[in-house]
Formats: sequence, structure tokens, C-alpha cells
Amino acid sequence: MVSGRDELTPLADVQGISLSRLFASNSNVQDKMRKARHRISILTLTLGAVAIVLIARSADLAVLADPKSETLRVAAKDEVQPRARLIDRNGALLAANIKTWDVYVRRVDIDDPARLAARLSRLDGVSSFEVLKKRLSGKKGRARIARSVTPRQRKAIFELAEPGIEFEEKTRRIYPGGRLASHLLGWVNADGIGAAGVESSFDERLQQDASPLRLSIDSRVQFSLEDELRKAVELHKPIAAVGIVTHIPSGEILAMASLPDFDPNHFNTASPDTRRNRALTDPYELGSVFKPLTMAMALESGMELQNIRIDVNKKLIIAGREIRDFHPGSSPMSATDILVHSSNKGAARLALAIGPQKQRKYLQSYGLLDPAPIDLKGSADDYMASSEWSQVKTATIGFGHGLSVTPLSFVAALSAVVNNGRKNPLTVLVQPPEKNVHAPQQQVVSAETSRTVRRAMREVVLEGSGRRADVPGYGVAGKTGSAEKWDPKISGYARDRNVSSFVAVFPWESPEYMVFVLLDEPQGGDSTFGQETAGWNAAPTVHNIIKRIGPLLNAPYSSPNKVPPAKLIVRAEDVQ
Amino acid sequence: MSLAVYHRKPSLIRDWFWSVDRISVGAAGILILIGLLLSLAASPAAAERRDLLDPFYYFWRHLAFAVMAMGSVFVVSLFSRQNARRLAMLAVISSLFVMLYILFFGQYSAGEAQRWIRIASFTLQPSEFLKPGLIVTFAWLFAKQEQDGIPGTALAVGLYGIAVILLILQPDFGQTILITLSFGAIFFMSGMSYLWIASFAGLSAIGFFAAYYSMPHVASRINRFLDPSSGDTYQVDMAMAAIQRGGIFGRGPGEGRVKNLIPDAHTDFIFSVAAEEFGMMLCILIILIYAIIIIRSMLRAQRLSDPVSQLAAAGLSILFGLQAFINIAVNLQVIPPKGMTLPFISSGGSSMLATGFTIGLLLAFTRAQPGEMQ
Repeated sequence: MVSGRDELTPLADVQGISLSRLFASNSNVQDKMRKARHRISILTLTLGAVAIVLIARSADLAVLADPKSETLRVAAKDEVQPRARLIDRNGALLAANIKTWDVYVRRVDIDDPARLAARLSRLDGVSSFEVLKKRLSGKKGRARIARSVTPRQRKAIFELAEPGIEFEEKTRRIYPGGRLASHLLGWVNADGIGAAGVESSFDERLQQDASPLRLSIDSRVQFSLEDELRKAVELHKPIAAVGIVTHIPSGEILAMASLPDFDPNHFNTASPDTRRNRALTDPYELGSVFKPLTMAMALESGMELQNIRIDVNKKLIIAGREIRDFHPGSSPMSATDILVHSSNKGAARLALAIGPQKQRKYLQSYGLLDPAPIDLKGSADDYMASSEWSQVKTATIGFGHGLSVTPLSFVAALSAVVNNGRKNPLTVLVQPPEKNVHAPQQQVVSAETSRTVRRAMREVVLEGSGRRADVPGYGVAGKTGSAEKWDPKISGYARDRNVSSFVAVFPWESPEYMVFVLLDEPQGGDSTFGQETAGWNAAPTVHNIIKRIGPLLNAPYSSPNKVPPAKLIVRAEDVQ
Repeated sequence: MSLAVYHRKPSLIRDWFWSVDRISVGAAGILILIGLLLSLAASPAAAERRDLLDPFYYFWRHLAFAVMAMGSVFVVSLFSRQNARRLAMLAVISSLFVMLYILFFGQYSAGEAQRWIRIASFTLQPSEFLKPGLIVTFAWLFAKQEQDGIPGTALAVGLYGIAVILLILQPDFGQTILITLSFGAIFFMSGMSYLWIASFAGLSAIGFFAAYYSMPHVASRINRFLDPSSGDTYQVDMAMAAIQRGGIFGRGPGEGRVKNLIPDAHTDFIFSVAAEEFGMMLCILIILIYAIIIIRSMLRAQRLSDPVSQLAAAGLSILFGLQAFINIAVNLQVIPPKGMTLPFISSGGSSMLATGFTIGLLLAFTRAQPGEMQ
């Protein structure tokens, strides 16, 4: 077929060109066009095939995607999801992210700053009239009129129907309990990164996994602990107070408080002093609460304590300083008497009998030379006043001086001793019931030693310095500690300032719970007849706490059949 | 009635409307609308990444360029074939000049490559305009190879060489591949013997391996594609996850997540945004619309009797189609990432205007002319 163009070519134009050449060229073009058309068909089919492949691949990805595929999981994880909530062991909300708005007004849209300021300032959550008027009076940019408003406040601002108002969405971490467990929970900084407590220690988990993090604490126990601590602070006027409640077999922290405290909803206005979790960060020379540990060491080192009597009337002078007893008792004393009467001399003599090397080895195995074994960041090192492990040190550590430990570190160590010698790390996360007995556990003392120490601690509560801690029925065992504070100014211990503490374990036969209370520099008052010692302040505080939390925890009653025989004075209330 | 038609005054728009490939014009319009719709979704996220106050900054930009692109489709398609060819050659000369200028004096760069030139507040990527220009020029040179004493093939190969060298110096591997494939297609369609074609394919393969061994970013992209564990495949992984999340009907407009996660969500990975928010249905629709434009234009080109127009139209369809399909294939993780936009849909002024120019040229060549179609 001849192409249209050739048809239209005037004959005159092709004159001079030989006809044969014209036809040759034409057939050549024809040939090439045919070839080109054929090849265009090939490419068209190829591109069509590519389209079909791409459609098939789209369908394959969209329909046949394995919902559990790796990439999908990664993408889901990368979604900007709200930080996980914190809940207590019973599911009560402790921390959550909520949506709030910062509110701005574009200044170009304002015609009368005073009128707008007047209208806005009537609303809840908005700055005052003066502040607003000043802010709105500028020419350029936008003025912030409120921060972190709630949906209700936002609606009220909307309803003013003023032009130029802009809402900027912000997520905010809120702590519905306010001060409740503030130190344990910590807070989240402006960049959304956990800065303290659980928020910091489990930051990655909270950011990556949206499911709520269940903590081991029990809000009811936490509230009781804080409430009783606050009452104690009011009554005894210490400069600080610490309280810890743990579940001994699992190592779970049920409650932990440190006073002064703060509200994590307003962490940025709280002073650093109030934000410090003293249970975790502050080492104290705890004094006599160490004596059960000394007793355990004596037993473990092979001393037959039931046959040993120690003369506590003899003067004990170590490195030129006489060691005295607060509560002089009849001499000679048994090891239990040393605890019951809290004899420093007796404990020192026991410690000397154990010897520096063994004492150090035992302290190490109880974990008292290391930071507290807990899954919270920021635990302080326990430390010794001097690195040299002298006779003096050995004697003073026997009754809790010369070695500063954090309250949590002490709680972990004593827990191991009373828990039939099984050492558990402490945890702020709820543990599955079957994991009550952590594996593998380190056996730090024998079950027999543990029972002997518990029995002696029970005696302390029944007839010693810990009488005011007893709660009938729960079989409370415990130990007081009233330690004079080291005063760097006089390079000696201050007579008038002490750290008063009490540690309780109940029920003593098969310990479930530990309660530890520390009052830093309590004052004597009418209720204590001027006394500043633990028996008069920390012990009654622990009593109040156990009385409140015992029923909440459904704590087992102490079995009357298992009360220690012989010297124990069994009171009517115990035999219910 | 025939008299009435005869006496009707000639009208530019009417003549254009009745002569142009209306289905391709309509399909391009739908693509542009889809691009605007997706830009509404992806713009706020992109604006936030750049700390821009107006969340719809990228949408307004996109809209402005879309209008300009539609304008250029219309204006360029009004050109006669001869003038369209001249316009394309002008584009080649000016793009090559600007690319040389950038190479020696360029300061503005995005990422590592020197591809852009700043004009007022816009940055222009000359290689986008070089592509359609080259295709038309190649078509002309191949078609004219033995006529009028022009050594067409030699000139075409030389021009191809210059363009590729300039692109590699930038370096822009994606555009190099695109131009090479389109050049190969025109070479093939011009009726070259299979021996020549095989030689060209062999040379391209050698060039590809040379690029792999001499250009670290090319090697790294290909390695990552072949073995995802060897490096950062974040963008493509997120893109594919987005497509999977979208499923058949999508998560709904504005409900996509990938646009917040991928830096290039509004440009190279807009297809993933489409997949996540509107699902497989929109993906297939987009692919079908491209296929319609490509196949229709190819078939129209096939029926043209003028070899230059035929090669030019088919070459431009292939260029347009390859760019679209390569972008989609990257999003679907069929081939390694190239850094290529989705024509008419991706955000980006150069790409949008150049696509308008490409389709304008294509329509100019496929426009019906009296007695032309066979």
C-alpha cells in the first residue's frame, strides 16, 4: 500500500529522480516501517506484561501478606504509639499518656488585644488578663495563651469563636495518683524519655511495647505506707523518711516511699532534694538493725550460740573509744539477749569472734558491698568509711556502724537471711506466681541459721526494743536500729542526731513480708516521752503499717502451734 | 450539514480536542488528581519534617506545579510535529548546557548528588527535561540515519554517550538506567539488526558492572536489595510494610503511617502512601492508568506513517512507562531503589513539569492529522 504522503507528492517534485530509485527507497521505507511496527508490538506486549506483573505483585503483597511477617512487625513497632501505661499489681493505673493541647493565637488575626484577653482570661486554664494582654499585643507571630489544656477547656476556647486560635496537640504523661509512689515511678522529660524511676529504668520497654507495664507495687499498700510515714514525719519531725514493703519469697517491692516527696505531674518545679529516692540512693549507717546479720554470721561461722554467753559488763574499748549499750541488760547474755537488748558490746564481741575475713566474705555474699540488687537504675554503692578492714571496723560493723548501705541494699540482704538463706534480687515488676522461688537462687545461710535469727527477732518484738511494732496475730519479728549520725564537723558521731529504723518480718515462722522504716534525725516529743530511739518512733510506725496492710495483703496468721517455746511470752492476742 | 462543518471557524481548542488522544489526556488528568489527593495526605507529614508552619505547604506547591504541568501538556501538544521536534532538541541543548554549568559551578546539592539548579526560589533538575528531549532527538537521528547524508546512528550514539557521562558525573544512576533503556528501545524499534542490539545490550551490561564497582552508592543499593541484612533498608522496608498494611481497601484517607516514617514519602515512595491509605484497589488503578496511556500511545505510534514521529511517540511512551513502572517496582520491592519519581503523582516541581512536557510532546506526535493514520 502506498502511504498518504507519497500520494500527495506532486509528480513534478519527483521529476529528476529516477523512478527506480524512488521505488527502491519507498520499498526500503516500507520494509523498515513494517519492521518498526512489529518491534513496537513486541515492546507494547513487554510493557503490558510488566504492568500485569506489577498488579500481581500488588495483590500478592496486599492480600497474601503474612500478618506476622518480620517487616510488618518492625513497621508496627515503629508506629508512633503512646508510651505504655504503668499499672500496679492489681491493674490500677499509675501512669498514662493523655492528649492535651497548647493554645496559640495568631497575632495578625487580633484586632483588639484587650477585648480578646478579657474574653480568654475568663476561661479555666488560660493565663491571667494582664499576661494575656501583654502577649497578645505583639505584631507578628503567635502568642501562647494556654498550655496543656484538657478537651473540656479546649471546647470552651472553641466556643469563643475567635479567629486565629490554633491548637497544637501535645501528649502528656500523667500520674493519676499524684505523689503516690512518685519516686518509684519517676517521670518523663519533655522529650518523652524516662528520666527517673521505672520510667527511666524501663524506658525502652515502655517506648517499644504499648501493653501496660505491670509493677509489683500494690497501690493500697503504697498508700498505707505513705500515709503512715507522713504521720510519723508529723509526729517525730525527721528531716527525711524511708519506707519499704517487700514480698520476701519473690523479691517483689510492694511499696516504697521516700519523704520528702514530689508530684511527678509537676516534676520540673520540684526541688532535687524531694525528687531523690532515698531508699535507692542514700547510704546510711543503719546501726542495730545489722545485729541479726551479725548473729547469722556467727551461726554460719560455726559458733554454737546456744551454749555461748557473753559478758557485756566488761568495758569494751576499741581504738580508744568505749562502746556502750543503750539498754543495759543482765550479764552474761545469750546471742538472742544481744538482739533483744540490742547490746552493742555483745554484737561487737560476736563480730570480733567471727573475724574480719569471714565478716567481709559474709557481707559480700549478702550483697552489702555492692549496689542494691534491684531492677531500678541509680542504686548507690554501699561504702565503707575507710577501706582498711581493721579490728575496729569488724567490731563496729557488728552493730551496724562503719558501713553505709542503702535501705534497699539492707532489705535485700536481710531478706536473704530470713528467707531460709535464699537470696533473691529485688524487683519492681510483678512476678508470675510460679516464679515465687527464683531460680537459681544463691543460698547465703542455712535454713537452720535463718530460723534461729528469725526466732531471735521474734523475741525482740515480744519482749525487747521492738515491742511497739507487734501486731497480734501476724507473728511479727523485727529489729530496731538507732544509729548516731557521723558528723564530719566534729569527726565523730553526733549524740543528738540519729538515724532511727525498724525492720519487721512476718509471719516469723515462714516469712512472707518485710517492712522497713527509716526516720532520719527524728525529734523526741510527748508521744515518745522525749525519746528519739527506734523503739519509740520507727517501731510504732511499722506497727501502724502492718496493722493496715496485713488485712489488705491477706497476710497469713502466725500459727499458735509454731510459736517458739521456752522463753517466749505468749500473749492472749497471739493465740486466736 | 457538511456545509455547516466546512464553514465553522477554525478553533484552536476544538481542533486540538478532536485531534488529540483524548483518552490519554483524560488518563493523565486522573493521575494528576490522584497525585493531588495523595499530596493532601502526605504533605502535613513532610511539612512537619521541615518545620514548616503551613501543613499544606507541599500541597499548594503540588497544586501549582500540577496546574503548570497541565498547561504544558496542552501547550506542547499544540505544536506541530516539526516544531515539537525542534522544541525537544532545544530542551536537549539547554539541559546539557545547564548540567555542564552545574558540574563546574554548581553549589546546590541534595544528598550527595549535584542534580539541581536554583532558579529564584525553585530548584530545577535539568536531567528531567533532558530525557524527553533526548528521546525525540534519538528518534529523529535514527529515522534519518541514511537520508540527507546525516550519520544518524553515529550522532545518536555520541549524544547518548555525552548524556550518560554527564549523568554519571552527577552521579545519577537511576536516570542513566532510564535513558539507557529508552535508548535501547528506540535502537530496537528503528529496525537495527539483532546483532547490533545484542552488542548494545552487552555494552550496557559492562557499563552496569562498571558502575557497580566504581560507584559505591550504587553497589550499596544493589547489595542491600540482594541481601537486606547487609545495610539500611529502612525506606523500602517501611514502604513494603505500608503496602501490606493497606491490604485491599486501605486504612482510609489520612490513616496511613508510612508518610511519617519515610523521608521520601511524598516523592519516591508516594505509591506506598497510596497503598496504605487506599489499598490495593488504588494501586491497581494507578498501574492500569499508566498501562492505558502507554499501550494506547504505542498503538497510535504504530499506526503513524512518519518514521520520526513514530519512533518519537513510541520512545516517549516507553520513557514515561518505564519511569512509572520502575518507581512502582521499587515500591513493591521487585527491584532495588533507584531514586525515581512517579510521573504526575510524586511531589516535586521538576518531575511534574518534565512529565507534562513529555506527555505534551507525546500528544503532539500522536495527534491525528488529515490522511495520516493508516
